[in-house]
Amino acid sequence: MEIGTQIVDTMPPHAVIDYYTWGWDSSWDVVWMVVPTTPTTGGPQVQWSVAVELSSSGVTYHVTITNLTAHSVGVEGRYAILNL
Amino acid sequence: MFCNTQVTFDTSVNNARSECAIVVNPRNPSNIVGASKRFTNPDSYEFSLYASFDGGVSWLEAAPFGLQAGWAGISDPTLAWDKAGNVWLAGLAFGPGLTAPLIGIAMYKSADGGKTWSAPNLIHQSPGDDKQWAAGDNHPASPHYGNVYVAWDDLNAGVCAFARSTDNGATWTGTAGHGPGSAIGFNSFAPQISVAGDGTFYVTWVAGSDIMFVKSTDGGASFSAPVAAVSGITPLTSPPLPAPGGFIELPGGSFRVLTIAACAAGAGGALVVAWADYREGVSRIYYGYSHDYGATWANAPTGQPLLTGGLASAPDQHDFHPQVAALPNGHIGCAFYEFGPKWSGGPRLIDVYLAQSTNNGASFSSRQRVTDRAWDPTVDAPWSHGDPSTTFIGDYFGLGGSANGFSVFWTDTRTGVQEMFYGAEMREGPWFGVQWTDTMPPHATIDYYTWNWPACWDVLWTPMSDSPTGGGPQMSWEVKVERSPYFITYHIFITNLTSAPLRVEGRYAILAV
Repeated sequence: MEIGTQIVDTMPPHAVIDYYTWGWDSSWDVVWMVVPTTPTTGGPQVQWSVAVELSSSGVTYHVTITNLTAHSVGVEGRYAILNL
Repeated sequence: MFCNTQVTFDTSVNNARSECAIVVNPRNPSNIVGASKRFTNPDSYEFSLYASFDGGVSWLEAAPFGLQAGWAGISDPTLAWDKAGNVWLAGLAFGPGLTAPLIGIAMYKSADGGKTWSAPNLIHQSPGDDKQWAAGDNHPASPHYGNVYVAWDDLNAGVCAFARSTDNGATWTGTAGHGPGSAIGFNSFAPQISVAGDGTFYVTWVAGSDIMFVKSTDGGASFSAPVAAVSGITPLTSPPLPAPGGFIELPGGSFRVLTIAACAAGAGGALVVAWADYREGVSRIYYGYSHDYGATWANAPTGQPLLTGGLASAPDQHDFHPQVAALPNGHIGCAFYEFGPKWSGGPRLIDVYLAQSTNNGASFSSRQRVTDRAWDPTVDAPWSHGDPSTTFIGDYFGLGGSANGFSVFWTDTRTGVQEMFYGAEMREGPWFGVQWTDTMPPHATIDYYTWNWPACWDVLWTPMSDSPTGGGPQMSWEVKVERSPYFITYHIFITNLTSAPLRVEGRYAILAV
């Protein structure tokens, strides 16, 4: 397994952003996890979904993150390549 | 990969923090104590102390010390454990005014793992005291187990001064028959101390273009004569480096830098010293090592590069501020700052790296990036001694070693404020579990939330139906996340897609911790 952080950003309030990252080997089993880096209280801050695109140059992952709050939120998009 | 834990969450840009130290409790590696300078405006500072009791996952900050009457500040924090479970902080007190007259070496004690601290005990007073370092003999097999040692420059006397306690800080003395401050060397700059497993301990310092050292085999009662471990180094000096305010800076940087001889004792008679060296026309970490208690040095006379070939930094990067520590298994780590553009045409930023040796310093065969993003030294940087032409990110940072691996403690500006960050190497799993079970009503959507998951952990949620059926999907889920300073609350929203009650299991996989 190989782990890392691919996405680092601060999202505006209520933003929905497609963070896409390309050139991933199609033989890799990759999972994505998103965590906020801005502390808060009172409820969830972010959620995400993953969409995938395959081309001759590899896999592009579209990690779409939603800031659920009315404040700016720092986010980290982490990955794990399960079969490395 | 290293976990990057933000230790402090200070919203005031006036509270810049840097020049830090870290020590791991030798009797409980989950207890980690850190110290740093904390500026209160661009040219004034005192200390902040930090403690973790869960291996660096979460931290508390001790109440501010305040300053004693007649003190304007306190500087150069360094930490050591005794054998009674006390952790000791050595600080350099100084007085008010433009010259900031030096007062002396102050010792503070914490008997509760770093939560609270005693009033200072000024063990030595001299207007020449500067750049102290402390270390404890934390080796139970050592005949001097529990001793605490402190060394510093006494610039007025022109000596490397020494003090020790053999009674868990009840009293402080120097070498045998002398009080605190006894001379163990001359012409010293920024001594450091490291203690070997058999109780032999070393004091190293920079003296011009030499790295000097002394050793003691009797618990600090006496020392060997100072000799050069390495000669002919090229310390960071001006010229060729700029020094617009009198303090040396790296090309492209505005923060002050210097050459300090960091040291660590490894297994047996191994000793490693490392320093920032400019002989290549760029700052690089060089080191020297001995495997016979300093009797001979394998790479004399001038030392050798810490990292070569593919492990070396790019030509446009400067490596500086090396910190050296050893693990109980004898592995030796050298952490350093790398300063330069991280992409073509980019701004000059700093990453923290850790190089490791598994052969007692004969070679450093690995290089790991500690920071998961580089930080900008120009952000929220206070002034060096009140001089706005030179900024301050600390003259050193923290590296500790324990059975849990290396602990790194550094200044970082990724939040826009000079904050403290902690790093430890992550361990890969996976580890699996079931966090909850429940029976959901038909068509219900429920927010199953679970808190206090360490923020560095990589966690996947894979809920599963426990109600066998056929004919279509039974459940769907989505994960939402909430962050406190050190922990994550996961909200797993599960929807029962059926018109019947549904038993569910909240399964998880922890991929890395």
